[in-house]
Amino acid sequence: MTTPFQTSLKGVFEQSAQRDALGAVRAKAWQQLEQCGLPTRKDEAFSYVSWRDLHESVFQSSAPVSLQKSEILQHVLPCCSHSHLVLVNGIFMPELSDLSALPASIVLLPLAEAMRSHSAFLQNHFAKALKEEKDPFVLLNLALHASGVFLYVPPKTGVVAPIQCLHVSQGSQPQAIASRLHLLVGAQVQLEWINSSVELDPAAAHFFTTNMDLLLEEGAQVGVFQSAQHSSAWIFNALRATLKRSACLKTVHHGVGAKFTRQSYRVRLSGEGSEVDLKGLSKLSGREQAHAHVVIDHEAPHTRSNQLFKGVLFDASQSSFDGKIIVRKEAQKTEAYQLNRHLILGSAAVANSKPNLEIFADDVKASHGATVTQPDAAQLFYLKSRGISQSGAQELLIEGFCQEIPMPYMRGGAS
Amino acid sequence: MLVPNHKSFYQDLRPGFSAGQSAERAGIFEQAVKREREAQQNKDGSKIAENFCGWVLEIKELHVTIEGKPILKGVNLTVRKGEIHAIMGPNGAGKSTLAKVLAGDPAYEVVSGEVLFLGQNILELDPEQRAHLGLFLGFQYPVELPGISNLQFLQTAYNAKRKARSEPVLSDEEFQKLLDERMELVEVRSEFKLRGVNEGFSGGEKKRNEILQMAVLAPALAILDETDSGLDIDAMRIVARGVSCLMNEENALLLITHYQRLLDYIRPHFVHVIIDGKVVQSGGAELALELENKGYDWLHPAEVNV
Repeated sequence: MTTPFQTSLKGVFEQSAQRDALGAVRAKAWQQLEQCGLPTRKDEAFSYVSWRDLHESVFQSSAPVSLQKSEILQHVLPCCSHSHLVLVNGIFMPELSDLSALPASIVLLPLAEAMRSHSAFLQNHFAKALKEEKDPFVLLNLALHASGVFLYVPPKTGVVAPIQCLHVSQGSQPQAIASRLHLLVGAQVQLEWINSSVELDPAAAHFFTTNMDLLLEEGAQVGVFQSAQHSSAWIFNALRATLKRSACLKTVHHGVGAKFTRQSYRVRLSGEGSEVDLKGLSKLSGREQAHAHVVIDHEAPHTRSNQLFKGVLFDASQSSFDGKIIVRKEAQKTEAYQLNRHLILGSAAVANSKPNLEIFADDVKASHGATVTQPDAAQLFYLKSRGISQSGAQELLIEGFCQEIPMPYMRGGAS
Repeated sequence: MLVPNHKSFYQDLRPGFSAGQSAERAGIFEQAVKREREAQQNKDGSKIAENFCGWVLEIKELHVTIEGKPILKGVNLTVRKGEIHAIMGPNGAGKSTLAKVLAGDPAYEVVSGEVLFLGQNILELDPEQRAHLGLFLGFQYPVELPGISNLQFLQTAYNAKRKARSEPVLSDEEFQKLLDERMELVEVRSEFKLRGVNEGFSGGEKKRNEILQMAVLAPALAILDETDSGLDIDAMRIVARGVSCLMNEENALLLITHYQRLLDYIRPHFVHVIIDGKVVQSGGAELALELENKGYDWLHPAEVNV
């Protein structure tokens, strides 16, 4: 059965598939997607997601729009005033970006151009990604994406300023906005990347999908920070990363006041001593939903992973966490930790947590835990006995709960 | 009833201190207490009868249940300004219940009776309103509040009280200054400011943190529920000194304790024994010593005629 959603996406795909050098990749991804189909509730990975509304929704192709620099300047972080790039409706706009603070050796190109200049790397990468990718929404992103971004940081480049990537959307009609960010980070490079979104028509319920594809060479250290705030869009993001020897990746995601977010992570710890730390915090009210789906693949010895995902659920909001840790036979001396905690404040709120460990090595430290709690009566009484009101006490407890996952750079990230 | 000679009382019960030191301290303290008592009695004779400013706490025939089970069965107690009262009694007698009921713990149900705090019936008030009036409970088991710093917690509490009393709130700098001063008084290291409230604190640190909160909030009545349990001698000395510094003729203290030990450091004017939900015996400081020697068995509710 084809839903209006699927039909409209097919239209979007047909309109834009062949516009540049990525046509073949898009076509292949679409073909694969048609084979596996968009997921239903029967698919295990999506069993907690409620999206009947999405299947009734219709999206148009994202349209290019012209914007003035002055219209977006207020959304640029002070630390990124000369190190930000701007995507409008998923399309990289060099003329709106300012990258003057970055070292000249850094390559930052529209993805379609990079398909020519870094053809061997990208062709190979896409072929592999298409072969391995199981997540239909990642395939959908590959099939629909407009012109994404390719970043290459040569080994040992000192990147001083953090890079902000502003995802601007404009248009009152719901659009399918798909963008891809490919980051190839050379050995020993330290890089911080901040994704922030600006919706110029906040009422429009777009379909957003941003996929990040990262390759961290030996000893590279990358931080990725992202927050979705006060959005009525459907957000399906994904992060795919491969870490070489001693590389380190940290990500923090905040979802506050966003109608629907799904974050999909797949991290391969392919080099010895590599390390990943994933953190996520959702603060949901009304009927908002946030879902996180994580796969960490320990392929090499002495690798470490840490996952901490938290949710604060008011009203009838829904949150789920589905996390899998795979420790391959070769990955001895691995440490893998996973913790998912939900604080429930709404009588109709729903939290689901599904940990999953597949361990084939025998010398491994691994743990997982999940808690679903309500504000503790003893804690509330303690705070109130000190003169703090019921609402003040509850706020403090929520703040304390969220404090473990701070958001660097962004103002008022958690509040 | 055995009434020990005061000098020997102190000498016997303060093995940690030299007798001279103890006696000296006790002397100063007792003199102050005597002055307060005299002042109190003078007031009693004149004004206090028609206006309640001398009474901090009056508990009248208080009956309390938890999940339908009676715990307090008609408690009567009166505490005046400047007074230190100790409540003792065996496990399960209802001491902690009394403390929590006074602070407004919703887990307990007050069946009948009256509690007047500074002349106002507080049984219908929320815990925070009681705190605003100046009531403070030092918890027997302080809870941990992960992620909320001591500073943030104390500042929020302090300013909530000021707001409720229509007093101007303190700025961050002003509050920091106040906090530094009080932390020094109760010998809490400044690193505790930014740590989560009671998070990972040892038993003794938690109790001292309670005293710090008391020092910051400067209550009219502090109820300390077994603050001495889990404290070593040094910590107890620090707590006692902090408490003594905070006591003045305008406030009052209710010490709930299992052991005589704390009373060596903070000398009460009155000692009350609760057994099976009732005050069965009241007396002076010497009663505590008698209990230490004889236990609680000689006091049976049935034998007591009020």
